Amino acid sequence: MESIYEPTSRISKQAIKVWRLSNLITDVIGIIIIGALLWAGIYFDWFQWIITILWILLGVAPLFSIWSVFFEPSLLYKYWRYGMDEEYVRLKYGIFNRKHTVIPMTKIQYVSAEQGPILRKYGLYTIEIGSMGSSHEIPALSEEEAFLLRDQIAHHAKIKEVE
Amino acid sequence: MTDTEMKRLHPLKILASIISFIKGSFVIIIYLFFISDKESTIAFYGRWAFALFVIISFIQMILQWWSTKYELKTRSIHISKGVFKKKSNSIPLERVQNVQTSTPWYFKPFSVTSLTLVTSATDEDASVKLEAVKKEEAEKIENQVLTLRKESAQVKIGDACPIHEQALEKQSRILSGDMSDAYMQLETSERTVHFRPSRKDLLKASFLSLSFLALIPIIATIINNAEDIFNWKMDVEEVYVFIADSWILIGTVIILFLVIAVGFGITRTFLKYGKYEIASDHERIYIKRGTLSEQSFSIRKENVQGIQLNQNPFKKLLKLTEVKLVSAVNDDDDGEEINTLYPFLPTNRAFGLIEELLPGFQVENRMNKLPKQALYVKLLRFPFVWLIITGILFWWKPVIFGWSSTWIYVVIILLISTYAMRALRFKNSRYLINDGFIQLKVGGLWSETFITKRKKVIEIEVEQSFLQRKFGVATIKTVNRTNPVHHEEMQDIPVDASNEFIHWYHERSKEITTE
Repeated sequence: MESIYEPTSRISKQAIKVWRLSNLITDVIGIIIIGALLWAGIYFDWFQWIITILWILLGVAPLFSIWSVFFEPSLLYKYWRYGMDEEYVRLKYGIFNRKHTVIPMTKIQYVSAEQGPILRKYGLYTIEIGSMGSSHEIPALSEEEAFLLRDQIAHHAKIKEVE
Repeated sequence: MTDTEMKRLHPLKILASIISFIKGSFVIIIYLFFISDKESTIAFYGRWAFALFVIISFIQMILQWWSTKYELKTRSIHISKGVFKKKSNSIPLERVQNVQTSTPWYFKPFSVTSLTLVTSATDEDASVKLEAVKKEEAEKIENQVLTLRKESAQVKIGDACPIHEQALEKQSRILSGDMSDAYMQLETSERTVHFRPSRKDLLKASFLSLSFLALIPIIATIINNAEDIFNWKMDVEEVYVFIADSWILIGTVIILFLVIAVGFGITRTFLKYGKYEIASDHERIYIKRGTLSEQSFSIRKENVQGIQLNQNPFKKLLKLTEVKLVSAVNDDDDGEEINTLYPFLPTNRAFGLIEELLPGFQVENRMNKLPKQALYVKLLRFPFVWLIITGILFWWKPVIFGWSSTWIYVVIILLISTYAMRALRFKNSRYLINDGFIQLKVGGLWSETFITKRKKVIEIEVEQSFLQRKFGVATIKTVNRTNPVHHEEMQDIPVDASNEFIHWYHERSKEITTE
């Protein structure tokens, strides 16, 4: 799927670290919750099938964590591309399911730069683009890039087409 | 503004409220006054509580009517509501996209109608409903909307729809002086009728609409009551004997039932779809329908976001198609699909009609089939739904029809039908990416064709799963601006076509005009 409309800009390489950290945190919390439920299940004598399912989940969760902490972030980074010109914003991403979205500038209703605690640690921003139909994110851009992109999109999106 | 300028709705609004109240509390009334035991305490207090509720509701209806006022200004309509908490709402007429009127049978003798103005806004104030106004008043409001729209249309998008010189002349008269008078001339001279169903169409429709099924609950109630009246008390054995003895009687009853059902179906269809009329001028499409209760609907051609052609298996067999206009308006409160052009159009007529009504739209008969690879992908996709159902059945092992192993057959039949449907979907899918258009046809037994202009598509997406990548196919998706947004997707078209789709969409910037 190569064409002249292919987006080429890449997100910050720091994204890998950000995703590793955030996935690690959510996975640990998840495993703790499953463990607590399992303990409660055994202690309060829940149905056997609930306990079986919990044991299976507890077995699978670490495998899933290995994937989401060690492999997924770098692959996500590898395939993330974005691009814009005066008329369109283009996003392309995904490891197994690859999505290529094209949004006309005239249909964009808002654009914002956001930052959570982990992103702040690395000085990164996420750009959120809202159109009439949906909202899209470009994750983990450096502050400079993020603000430039936000301002550019905001500038082009000001133009409205005649309905 | 003072109260003298503001008008109230027609007092028939109260009647309309009462009728919708009765409809709404139908189940409660039936239960309290017909089903429940007369001596029981629940029935006693329930009836008193209901009576109180009726009185309060009735007072509320009158107060509502009393406090709802509207005012029509040159460029906007103003509505104020509420007895204790006043709420007023002003809507610029220029923003009105569609005008709908609906005349229930009990409004007809008084020449009163209910008028709804729909704007493109997405919040709750998106539409104004005047539940009961005089017909002349409704026409006046509608005309004012139409003339305003024409005025702005002429200034803004004059090139979008070719305007005849004669019409231009008349429009300048609209602009200069007597608006409504000039408008009436403009309207009558240009509106052409495109479709009125023939008797044959209606007969086909009445068999198709399955509306005679509506008889079943009525008959069930009658039988239920009959049991009480005749005090039927029969054992199962007696029933068997009865059936064996009186098969002639039962046969007659069944035939009688069928005759009544068909008669009912035909009458209902003739009443509902009989007086149908699709008309248009160069600006709008007008749909009128109904015999006892009348409904009318008009929509700006520019606001038609796309067209949907739907067929169920029976319609396919009889070569009939349902044509729907995809627009910002949703179905109205009663769930009537108001934006349906006509549910039973002869298929070949449907294509012609679309081109007559919407000169910008083309329907191309020859569309591309999916490649062989698409079939492989469809067959290789993991049958999740089937697996989940199998899992549940395996766990439960339910006894169906008295056999303990029936569920295995259910699983096998489900598996076969899953794959049969996939093959059928492959066979029936078609796509076409044309100059300014895209046409997508999906579905197996039921089929749905979606046609839209590139200009009306507000976002696209191409998606490729791991499996699709191996076979060189992709899924394309479009988003259209309706309320809520309209998503359409086509699975497993060749990668080349999906690239073409992206290129095709980028040409959009050449078509649009920016402010």
